[in-house]
Amino acid sequence: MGETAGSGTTMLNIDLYGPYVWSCYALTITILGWQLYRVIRAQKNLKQKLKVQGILC
Amino acid sequence: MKKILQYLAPYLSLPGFCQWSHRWWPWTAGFCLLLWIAGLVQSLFLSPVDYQQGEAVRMMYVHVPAAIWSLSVYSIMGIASLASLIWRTKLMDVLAQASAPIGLSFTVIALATGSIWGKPMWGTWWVWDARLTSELILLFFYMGYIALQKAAEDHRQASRLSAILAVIGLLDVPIVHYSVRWWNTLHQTSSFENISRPQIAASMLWPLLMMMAAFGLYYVTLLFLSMRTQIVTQHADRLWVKRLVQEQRC
Repeated sequence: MGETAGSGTTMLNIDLYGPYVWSCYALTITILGWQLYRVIRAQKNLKQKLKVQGILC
Repeated sequence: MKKILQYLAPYLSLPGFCQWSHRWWPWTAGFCLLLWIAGLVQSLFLSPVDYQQGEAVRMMYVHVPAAIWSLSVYSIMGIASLASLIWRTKLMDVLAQASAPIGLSFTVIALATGSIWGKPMWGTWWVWDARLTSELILLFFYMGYIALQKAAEDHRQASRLSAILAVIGLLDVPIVHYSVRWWNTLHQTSSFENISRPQIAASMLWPLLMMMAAFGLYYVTLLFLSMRTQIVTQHADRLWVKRLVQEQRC
């Protein structure tokens, strides 16, 4: 976790985590975010199509 | 059993599913977001470091849920495909189709994060051991299923062929799960095979369970949205779809 400074407050030391941990989380969030974007985009396209067909106002 | 099926029938029909998933998805999405925030804070900042692995243990909180859900989603997809082949239920077919891209994402995450975790722990990005190889085969099954869906011209034929592939792929699920027991692998055995007697400390188990629930709710939320989109797209000319869409109940 963090590093305890002399003043007694806990400071976050990002270096401790290393590139492996951060890249793991960044990759996970990117893939899941992209998947979510894909689903939302498909829904938006469908709404547009339904509007063109006159089903959705 | 008959009574249960009679009770569930309205919810398992296409119009029924559209309506109740439309009502429930904001709740699953809300809880999913909350669990992701809480899980990320716990796993990145509040959970303790491991005495052997140090900070690298934090990779467990994304790798393990992704791996478990990659298998779970495939099991759901395979069973739904089997049901659609036997009973020709459209909802099961849509369920399997909507699950495939989400399961593929989980499998890619499990393999990639496992590889990133393997480098500092094992000293290598990849080894051809039973667990890693069988998980890679699972990835190929997901990819094959999606490719078959898109390749065939006839929609019904595509659904049937991909459902057969999904059922065959079910054989790989127990192989992935038990590979660490059946073969001598570099991959460690499960730390909470028996949930009542987990082999990891509670301070690490809770963030892990939280992330597993977050991944699960992510799957359910995306499944609701994708299935509804697919149902409306495939049946846009039906009267019940027009009525539900116009009444904003789907």
